[in-house]
Amino acid sequence: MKKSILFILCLPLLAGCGVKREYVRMRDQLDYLETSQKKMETQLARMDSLLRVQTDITYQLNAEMRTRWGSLNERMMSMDQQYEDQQSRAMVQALPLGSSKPDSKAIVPPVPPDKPGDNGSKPDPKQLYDTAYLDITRGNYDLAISGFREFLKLYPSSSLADNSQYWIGEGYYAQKKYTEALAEFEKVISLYSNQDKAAAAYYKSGLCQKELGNKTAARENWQALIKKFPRSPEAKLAQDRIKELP
Amino acid sequence: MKNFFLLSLAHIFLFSLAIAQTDVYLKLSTSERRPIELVVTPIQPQGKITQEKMAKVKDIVDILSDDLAFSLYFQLIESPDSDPGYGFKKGQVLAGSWQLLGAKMLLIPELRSDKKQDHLKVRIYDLGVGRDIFAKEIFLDYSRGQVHRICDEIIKALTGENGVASTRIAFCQKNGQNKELAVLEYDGHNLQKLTALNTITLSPDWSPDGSKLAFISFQRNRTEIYSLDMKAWKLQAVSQVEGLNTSPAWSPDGKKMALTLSKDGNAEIYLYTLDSRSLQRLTNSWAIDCSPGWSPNGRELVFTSDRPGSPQIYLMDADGSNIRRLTYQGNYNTSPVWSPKGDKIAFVSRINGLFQICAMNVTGDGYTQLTYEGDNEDPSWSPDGLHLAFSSNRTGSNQLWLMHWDGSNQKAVTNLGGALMPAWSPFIIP
Repeated sequence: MKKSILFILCLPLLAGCGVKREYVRMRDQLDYLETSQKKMETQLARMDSLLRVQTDITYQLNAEMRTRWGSLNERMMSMDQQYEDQQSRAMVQALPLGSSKPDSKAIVPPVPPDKPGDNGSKPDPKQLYDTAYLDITRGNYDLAISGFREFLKLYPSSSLADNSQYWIGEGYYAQKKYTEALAEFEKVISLYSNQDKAAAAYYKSGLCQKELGNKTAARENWQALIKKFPRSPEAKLAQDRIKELP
Repeated sequence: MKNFFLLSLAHIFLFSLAIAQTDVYLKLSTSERRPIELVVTPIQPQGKITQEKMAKVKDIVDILSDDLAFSLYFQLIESPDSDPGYGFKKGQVLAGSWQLLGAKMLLIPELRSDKKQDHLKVRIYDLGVGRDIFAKEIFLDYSRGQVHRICDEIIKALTGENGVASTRIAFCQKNGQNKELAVLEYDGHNLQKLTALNTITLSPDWSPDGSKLAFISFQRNRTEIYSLDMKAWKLQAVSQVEGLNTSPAWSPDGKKMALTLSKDGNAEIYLYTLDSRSLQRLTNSWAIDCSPGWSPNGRELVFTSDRPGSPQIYLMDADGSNIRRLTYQGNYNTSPVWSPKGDKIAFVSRINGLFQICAMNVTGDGYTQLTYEGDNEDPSWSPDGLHLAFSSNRTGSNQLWLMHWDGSNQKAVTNLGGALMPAWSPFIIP
């Protein structure tokens, strides 16, 4: 031990004239660091104004850079859409519901009345749907569930039927009633398999299964989702959830 | 749109003639909302009071009147006479002379003074039933906070709702090249500086219990998210991952924070759990996804995405599923905030080259432009969902402004070197 300490103490001496050269090099490095720090400080001072326009510029740049990308993507999506529509039409013939919802991701696509002159004393479908959805956002889940059930009873072939079915599941899920939620999400999958809530319903079914302790069923749900809707945002979430499973 | 506002906003009506002081006197209804016509009578001196003291208390009563008028629960009618005797006979209210003005209620301030203290009694007198429906006596400390609390008590007693008069607004105050966090009363008074980090501090967001503020700081030459505990006066780092760490949004249960991070490439939205310090990625898009805001039930998020080629407002479930687009108007919509009432989303839209505050129903309809002059940004809802704070440069420099939910009654509440990014506090419940 003592020997090694002595050795360390003697190191500077052993280094000899190398020390001076080392010192000069370090000083140069320090100078360089100081200069770059000053540069950084100047840049930081400008960041204030830059930050205000940063988002704007980023959006513009991204929009420009991805114009080609976007149009390509759109073409792909429209091809996908055509394919899904064809499938959907095939499904519609098999389903008693006869819904042929355009696959829009809009929160509320325009709701035409089920049949003109058929409304009688029925509440306005959009108002009924919106009120139930507002109950979801306000946490009045039981009210929301009965509102959506009413909607499905009155307007089973509406383009919002799959949405209503999805929100019933969500109403139960929010209350941690996972068995009920699972049953409702599964209805979305079986009744509206090619419509825009299907992928989310698959994902939520998996979450319900996980909460209920059925890890295998959860994994199967998420794998089915990835297979059926590989390009959906939910597929990527499902991949993450599968990785987390023990 | 109107239907939903009518549904969501409180309609006030009398439901009982005989009611105890602490009972809820006015009820909410889904039909038309109508404010109560109220006259604040001149101060009624009980015994001898100096002119000087009367003037001082008049200032206090004026603050109360402003609070009540701003609340939207009352429509204030000016008293036609400044003489304390007008409309009273031997201390009794002459209902007819007030009802002629269209008043339904009176706010009667009574001032009594002894050697030690000044006592202010605030009475709300219902002209229809001819009796007080609220009365509160306080020892005046002449603070604005005391007056704001009385206003909130009146609103609570008469409507059952929480008032916003005691709330505060945090914001970024420009200080040379820097921006620091500061807070003031909702009506722009009593400015208090919160940080002196000598750097750029942005995007304050209140924890739901009002005890902490999350914000972005550049103090280490990059964007990082911190949380300031205003009770323990402690600063804590929340997110310092590589790349951008921006737009913190506290979940309504206070356990999570939605953040925008760019650690995996471009800007995406993540969910940060405060206890376990774990991150969950919510969006997976080639586009920029940013500015998350929570629905009041904590089950959904509103956010900005440029996936259609320009920034637009989207909604998703708080686990990242069920993404759907909300805005189709214009080609630049950002900074969405979900109303605490659940029904509305306010956001910034670029219209004719200027940023304007707009709002629409969460159900996808009812798009309304709320501001028109200059650039208007950073909307933040009051906790009752009836008002919005925002920053505007319409007078030359950025200042904090308030307006009602429908864009009416826009007024500046600061006159500082520069004030940005207001964040309206939760309810302050004593």
